[in-house]
Amino acid sequence: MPDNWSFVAAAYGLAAIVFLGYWRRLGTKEREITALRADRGSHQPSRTAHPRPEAGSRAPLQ
Amino acid sequence: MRYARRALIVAWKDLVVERRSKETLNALLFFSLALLFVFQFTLGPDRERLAAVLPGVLWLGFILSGVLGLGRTFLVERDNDCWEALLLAPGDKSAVYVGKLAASLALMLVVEAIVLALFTLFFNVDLGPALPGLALVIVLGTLGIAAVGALFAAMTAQVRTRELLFPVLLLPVLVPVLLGTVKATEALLLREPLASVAHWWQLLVAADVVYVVVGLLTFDVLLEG
Amino acid sequence: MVKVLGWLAVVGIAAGLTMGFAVAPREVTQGNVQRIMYLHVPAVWVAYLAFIVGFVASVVYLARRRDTADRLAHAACEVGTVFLGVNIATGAIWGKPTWGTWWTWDARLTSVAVVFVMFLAYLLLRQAVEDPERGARYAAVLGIVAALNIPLVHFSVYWWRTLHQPPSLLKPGTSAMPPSILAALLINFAALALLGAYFIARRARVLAAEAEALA
Repeated sequence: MPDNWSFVAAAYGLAAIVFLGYWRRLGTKEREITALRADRGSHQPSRTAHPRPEAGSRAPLQ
Repeated sequence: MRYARRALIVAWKDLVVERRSKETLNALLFFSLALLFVFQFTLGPDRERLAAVLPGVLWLGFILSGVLGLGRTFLVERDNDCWEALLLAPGDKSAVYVGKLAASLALMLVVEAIVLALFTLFFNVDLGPALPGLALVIVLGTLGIAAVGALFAAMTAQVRTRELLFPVLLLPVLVPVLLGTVKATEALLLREPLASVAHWWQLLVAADVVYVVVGLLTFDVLLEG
Repeated sequence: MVKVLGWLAVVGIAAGLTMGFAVAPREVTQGNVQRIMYLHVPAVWVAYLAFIVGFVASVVYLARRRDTADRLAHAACEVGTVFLGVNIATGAIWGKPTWGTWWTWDARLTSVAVVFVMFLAYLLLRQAVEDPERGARYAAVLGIVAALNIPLVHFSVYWWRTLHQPPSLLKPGTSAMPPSILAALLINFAALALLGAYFIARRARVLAAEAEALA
């Protein structure tokens, strides 16, 4: 039987593409999450656990 | 026997609702009839070819009806705001599973009996001595379909893409049941004795046991919220 | 830990490729196209191992409700599906020159295809359920049903193809295996298993990070 190296190449090539593709997808997701965290983190200082109005900003009760 | 009583109540409720509205029953019957025509038209008038594919076509009809009918088992609860009632039901919730399973099984068997009668009429099949064996295979197969169906129906009841997701979940899992029932039906229609297809109906029994046991053990997990 | 697995996988793959192409001999009947086997067969072994891991993790999740178990189940089933996809595709590519056709409904290909679709459905369910806690519960139940169904699928399809029928087509590579071929097979299995473990570990880590970020 002839060797059909093209098929061997196709099979291994396909597997390589799939595995590399999955690997890259994992990388993309990780970067997305880090970006999301960084984004959240930059808003953090302005949020306190118990938001309190600035002193003197509230109108006194009439 | 409180468990059995609870299961019976659920089954009875579903069957009474069905008997009053006959929505599902009618829809399934008309659907099966439509399928009958579709099969006839697509497979052509060739008698021999029809006879050869009859078992497959029959079970295709049963399974498709099952997909349609079973997917709706929990819609009664969902649409009428009774889902929470299910969640709050006291005791072992697998009783609900048994009830739903019993009701679905009963409904499907009624539809299948009618469809089988129609098939024998339209495709001129003589069931004769094959009938008892066939009845066994139909009950075993339908039990498998209903067992998995009730479980997956609970899973998909609250999902937006329910109509699509339910068949996608159900059909691959039911491949062993489909194969077992079709091969057994084929052999029985060829007048082979039930013993010759022992491995097939034993597979169906094994599958049924697995599905029902998993259903009993995991159903209350699905009804947690 | 994930990094270590990753590098081990790379080493393993290098070893596997060497074994598969340099060490293993040219097969007598099929020629060099048989070398696809060193990829095709280990892929399905790794996939099924992954599904078993998914099954155990699903059971543990239902018993203990530990989120790590849920994430492991999710990752394992996803990675298993990927490897199974590779198995099916490489099987078709192998089949074309050997059997003359891309696809045949023989027992092994068919049962693997059914299992593949079952776990694709698992991934679809994961996507479709919005509430994460409910999704975890539902997926665990499905994971258990799907895994338990694997032997049923295999038996039913095998009987469907072999009973009342002459023995099916030549199964590439089933004749007595020379030790070098067996060795290549096992080393490639180890390589792909390491790759699978790496992917599962990393995927689970991503899931954990996602859960934390969206909390």
